[in-house]
Amino acid sequence: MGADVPVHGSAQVAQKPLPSGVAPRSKAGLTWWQRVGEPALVVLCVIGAWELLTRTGVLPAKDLPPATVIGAAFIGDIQQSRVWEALGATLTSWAVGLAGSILVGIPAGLLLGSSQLAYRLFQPSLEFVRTIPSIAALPLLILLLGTRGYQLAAAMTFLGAVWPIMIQTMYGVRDVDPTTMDAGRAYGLGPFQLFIRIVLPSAFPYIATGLRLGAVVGLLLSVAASLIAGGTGIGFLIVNASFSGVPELVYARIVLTGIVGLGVTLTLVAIESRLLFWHASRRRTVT
Amino acid sequence: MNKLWLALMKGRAFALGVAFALLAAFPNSDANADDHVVFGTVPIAGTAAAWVGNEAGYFKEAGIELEIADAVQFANIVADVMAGTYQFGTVSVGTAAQAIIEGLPIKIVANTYHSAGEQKLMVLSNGPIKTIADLKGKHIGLGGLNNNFQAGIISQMKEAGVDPSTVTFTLISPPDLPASLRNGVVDAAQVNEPGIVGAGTDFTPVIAEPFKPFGERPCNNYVIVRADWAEQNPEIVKRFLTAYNKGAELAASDKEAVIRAVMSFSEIPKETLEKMTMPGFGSDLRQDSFQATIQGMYDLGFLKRLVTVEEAFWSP
Amino acid sequence: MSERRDPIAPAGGDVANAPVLEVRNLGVTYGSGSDAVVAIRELSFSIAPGEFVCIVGPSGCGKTTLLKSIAGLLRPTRGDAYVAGKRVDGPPKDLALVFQEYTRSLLPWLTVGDNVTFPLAARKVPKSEQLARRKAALAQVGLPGFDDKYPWQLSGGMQQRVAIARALAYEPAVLLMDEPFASLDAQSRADLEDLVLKVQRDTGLTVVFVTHDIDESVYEADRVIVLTQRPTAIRQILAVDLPKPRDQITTKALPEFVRLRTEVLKLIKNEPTVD
Repeated sequence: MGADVPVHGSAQVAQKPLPSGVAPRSKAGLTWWQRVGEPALVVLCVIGAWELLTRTGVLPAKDLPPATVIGAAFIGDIQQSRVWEALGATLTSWAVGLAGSILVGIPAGLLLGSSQLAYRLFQPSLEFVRTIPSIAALPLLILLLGTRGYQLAAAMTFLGAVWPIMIQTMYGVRDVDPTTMDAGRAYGLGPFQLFIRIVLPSAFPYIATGLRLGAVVGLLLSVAASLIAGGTGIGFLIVNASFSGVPELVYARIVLTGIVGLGVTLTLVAIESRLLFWHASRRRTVT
Repeated sequence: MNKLWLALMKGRAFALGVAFALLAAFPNSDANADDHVVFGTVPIAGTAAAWVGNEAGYFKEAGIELEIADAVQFANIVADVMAGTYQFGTVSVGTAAQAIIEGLPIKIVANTYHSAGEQKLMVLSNGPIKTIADLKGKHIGLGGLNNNFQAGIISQMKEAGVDPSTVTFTLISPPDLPASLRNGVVDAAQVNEPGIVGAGTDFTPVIAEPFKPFGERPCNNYVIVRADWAEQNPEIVKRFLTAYNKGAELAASDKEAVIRAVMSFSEIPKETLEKMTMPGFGSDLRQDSFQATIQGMYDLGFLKRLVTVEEAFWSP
Repeated sequence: MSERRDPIAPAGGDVANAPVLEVRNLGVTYGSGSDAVVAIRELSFSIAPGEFVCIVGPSGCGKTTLLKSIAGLLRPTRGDAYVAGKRVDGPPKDLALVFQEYTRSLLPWLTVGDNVTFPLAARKVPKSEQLARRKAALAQVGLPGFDDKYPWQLSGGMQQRVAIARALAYEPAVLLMDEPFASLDAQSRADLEDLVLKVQRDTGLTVVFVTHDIDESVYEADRVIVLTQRPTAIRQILAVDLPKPRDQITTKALPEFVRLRTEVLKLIKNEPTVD
């Protein structure tokens, strides 16, 4: 009985491309070693090569400290409260900005996706605006918001996150299967019921992708805000280490930031695949 | 990071211009948190006076709760002072003059630090450049362009017979300057402490006193306020200055206090701090050096016009 | 013999047996001006309660357009459809629809059970009644206890059973089916044909079944409405008086079955010009 299911799966994919950036088909079938061990080995090799090249003087150790020196700085640094306070500040700004971009981006995307007129009028501008690097807004935002407090990084997060969320939501709504809508209509669902029971869940994979993209871009910009403008975030601590002429600390904090970013991404991917277990890209089992 | 930094520096003149228009349109007045005062600064040793004074309890004595906010660039501090997120901020002398020329209503109230050998133009010790005259046709990396440092070294190059138009100046983020000199990106570079100590014997100064043309130990950086805020809150400004200047005097006489202060806001290791040449501190506004610096920058076309002491300095 | 019957009137022609579905002078034109495409020229027929009517026609003849007009998903350009005596103006309450594309008409984020009940939940049918209807409907289609599965965990045939269960739980007066088994394998198809016949017999539901499969139409129907090529009109309406219950082997071997299917085939193939 399962024989025709793959056909249906591929048929759906063919008719309806996956939202861009949706994580690839589940990694079932790969062993733990293949999923975690081998990539970790690559990381270890890079660290080893780094250590070797800096210790032997191929790379200037004064500007690019050996991996072990960075590691020691990292261990020392994470035992101090200031990096955690700074990370907390960065993540707070990020959360505020992300919440704002969700509150704005999803309703706006739903509106743009539902209205043919709004879509026609705004879609080209939106596609244009999303290609402008949000970092370009930083000087203006500094003038408006100052560099102190969470607002600047929150505003940068917002600017980075709102576009992917809005645009993905818009495409998600536009891509709702007309047959599914017809089924809902035929069963007497009114506009509100259709929206709640069909449009939103159908668009959800797109919205989730938008959220994940937006969250990551937003985190980068939240860090960048304090990196460029100062304030209380982790970016400032990277600059401070740089001003202090302690490159190993600069790299240690960059690594820490990277780990946090990876954590955020993995968490979102995990949440996403839990909520989207039903989506064609993630279905695991077929009876 | 460098690219971003460069991009931002390029945008600075435009940004300053936009600032006034925006602020005229959206007057910001969250400045009056009674005696809570935000002092914006960059985490370099030169800004230690405020920390020293705060640690010594001078601000508390003056009835001021001081919050020191961290910025990365002096140019952004102007924006924050204008936005009212900082009441006081430290800016370099050139940035202050530039802002005044752009019409921003800022006033200088105190001396942040003056140069005492913590910034030098350096070359590789084992390299070909031995004297200023050797700089002809070379590539020089600077932490800022069209500023007092550049004005000072151009003036000294001219004196030594080097045509500055043969020299290429490149903007490089200050912390990266030692690396760019070490790795041959530039032939000579502005190196600031702690980079001078960090370089050890690798580098030798080719211009040891870049600010010499502007007088003996000229003031390099000032504390500013927004003029209208100072006018509305002269009492707070006066009490702030009393505390701040006491801190500056203490910093001038007590290197240990400066080292403790710097360690509280920076990552510079203690042994580096002990070897470092500290910038000079003091309560003297050194208006003569201000005028000389402005003149020097104006002569090279770095400033559109001269700025007078009267328009630059606050008087209650 | 079918020719002798009034083609418009429902089987039986009993006056008391008012039609549950009536289509009067219905026409659909897409676009306007010189770009106008007449999809349906004019159609009139009526269907009595408890009838099983199949609609067949050459491919591209506007079967789906007709069905959408009846289901209230498409406003006809001319004429009207009436369901249970009410003019169709938006999806009628007494009508349930089963689509060919079961993967797209079922909601993948809902369990089988919730797929069956979501139209009821939207209608605010009491929870206990929803559960009772769902249980009965899933049992009727042979999927008892499949409530907590997801549609995509099931085979195509089983998914279409879920879609039928959803329609049954809705308790409509008319069940419209739009080529419901066209994308199934032969075995599932035969099983489902028999399932629909059995359900129709058990419930007395009126079924309007659109198909392009001539054997299927004759096997299932009490009457077969044969449509013409576009612009669509009724070619002929044939009564099917095959004995019931029908059986895939014996019914299809009957000379009457063969005669009817040949006739339908001829009607579709030898398309004469419409007068």
